[in-house]
Amino acid sequence: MSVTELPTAGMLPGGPGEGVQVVIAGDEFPTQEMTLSIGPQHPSTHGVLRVVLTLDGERIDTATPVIGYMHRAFDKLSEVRDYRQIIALSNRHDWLSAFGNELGVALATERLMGLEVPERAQWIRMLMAEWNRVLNHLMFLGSFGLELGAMTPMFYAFREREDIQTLMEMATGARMHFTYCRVGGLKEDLPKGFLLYSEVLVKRIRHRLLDYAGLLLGNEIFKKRTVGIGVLPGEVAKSYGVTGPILHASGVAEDSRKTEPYLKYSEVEFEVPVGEHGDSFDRFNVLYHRIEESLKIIEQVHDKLPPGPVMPGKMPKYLKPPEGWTYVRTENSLGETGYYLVSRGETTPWRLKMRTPSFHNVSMIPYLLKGVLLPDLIAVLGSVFFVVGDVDR
Amino acid sequence: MTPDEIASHLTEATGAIERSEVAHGEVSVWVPNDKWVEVATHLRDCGRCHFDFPTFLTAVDMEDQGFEIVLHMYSVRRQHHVNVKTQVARDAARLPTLSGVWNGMNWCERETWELFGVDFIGHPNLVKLLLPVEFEGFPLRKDFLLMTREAKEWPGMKEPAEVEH
Repeated sequence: MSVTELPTAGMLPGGPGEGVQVVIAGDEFPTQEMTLSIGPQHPSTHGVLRVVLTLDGERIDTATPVIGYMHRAFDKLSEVRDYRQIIALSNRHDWLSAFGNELGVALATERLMGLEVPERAQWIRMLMAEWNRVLNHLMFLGSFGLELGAMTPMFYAFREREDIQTLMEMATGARMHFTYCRVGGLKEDLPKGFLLYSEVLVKRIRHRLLDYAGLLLGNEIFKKRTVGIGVLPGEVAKSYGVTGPILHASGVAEDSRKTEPYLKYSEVEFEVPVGEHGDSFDRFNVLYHRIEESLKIIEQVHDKLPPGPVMPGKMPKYLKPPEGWTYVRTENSLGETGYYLVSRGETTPWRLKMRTPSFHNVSMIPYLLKGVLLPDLIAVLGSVFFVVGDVDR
Repeated sequence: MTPDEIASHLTEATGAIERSEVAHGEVSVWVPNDKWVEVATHLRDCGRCHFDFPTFLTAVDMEDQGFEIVLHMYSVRRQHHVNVKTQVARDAARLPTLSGVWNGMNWCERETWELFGVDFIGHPNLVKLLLPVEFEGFPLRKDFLLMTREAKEWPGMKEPAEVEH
């Protein structure tokens, strides 16, 4: 019996019907490298993200995210727009956290202009930002389950999201792109009945969150697929500029609501949930507990909301921030959303750089996917919670 | 460290700071091009600075003065910020890469390269990131005109400042 060594690449020796017996020595089984393109249309990518993989057998050797399919030049467009128009533009790219995006633009403009925002407006901004965070996290809570084969959490999540969208629609008039912030304050005060509904909703969602815990957090199959998968050490996460729940899951409790409080975050009590291992399960777990903390903040806003106006008495007709630059960071739903604003004293910014969390989080994906088995790809990719519009801007 | 302390510490420790400015509680330091990597490495390795978190890198078109490259750093451990800036000439826009200092700089530099045309020497993979491969020009330069606005200045009836609320 002839024994032939397996070539590393190319055709096996011997024509059809000749029969070649291959003896495998040791654990190494060299295979031909294969390139696999995931996306741009794939349910687990939340939009149009493409990942090009090179596979060694079932193991991922390299993963290259291909982005830019939704690039719409936010930076360039804002250079020809009034500061008030940018607010409407900025809540489009991350469609799951619209309020968090527009908040940053308003804060940056106010800081350059030295505007004093009324107390009540600051509290309401915080309330809306936290509801938006819950809205965002519920989406990922549902979709991550869906990607791993659990259908029910998605339906549950959308039931809760519907309630919150109804609540936010009461105040803003919109379900997704709120455009509720104004430079200096807010579009208008909360309508009658808003706080009552908000209180009811906090209780309802807190109760229903237990369903998610039962369905996923304590689920044996879910744990088997996520525990120990896609481990991200804290130091690596920081070097890539990763923020938000993904950074927290790696054990780094960096949250600008705590470390550099803006709005009224210094006057409310809440925790920053952190993970221990930085795996897919921890990332999901952190996301879950962030909702609980947001609900805590919302309850405190209900108690502490002061009366008063929501816009300063007198606003200039033309918004012209004086010459200068500033960087404003906010802890948005998915991480740090920041605006680097350069003004030359005109009605439009000279340069407005938007720093989005998803862009930096996705840039870390090649690290996370290296050496991962192909069936675990979805469990890893789904746990890097990102919105493609937020990656591409 | 406070913004002023960061400015004076960097001036002493690196000797490469041309000028510094503190505004709105934020500090900017300007460094020459040839000290760019040296200062960035110092920010990472110095125990007092301990800048372990690269927030972003971008450029600002300064027209006649070329481009100002802005590197914003944050320290998770010390909780302070710094903006490191350098100016590159318009017709010779190049700078050594920082992708070896922080992993996160890789994509930031690719983005700055394709949008501003600033070359990052030594970058391992300087190819288009957000734009299509066949795209020509550098869109965030001020001389790259936004054609829709050239054709019609503002499509609305009124400027937002003229609308009574």
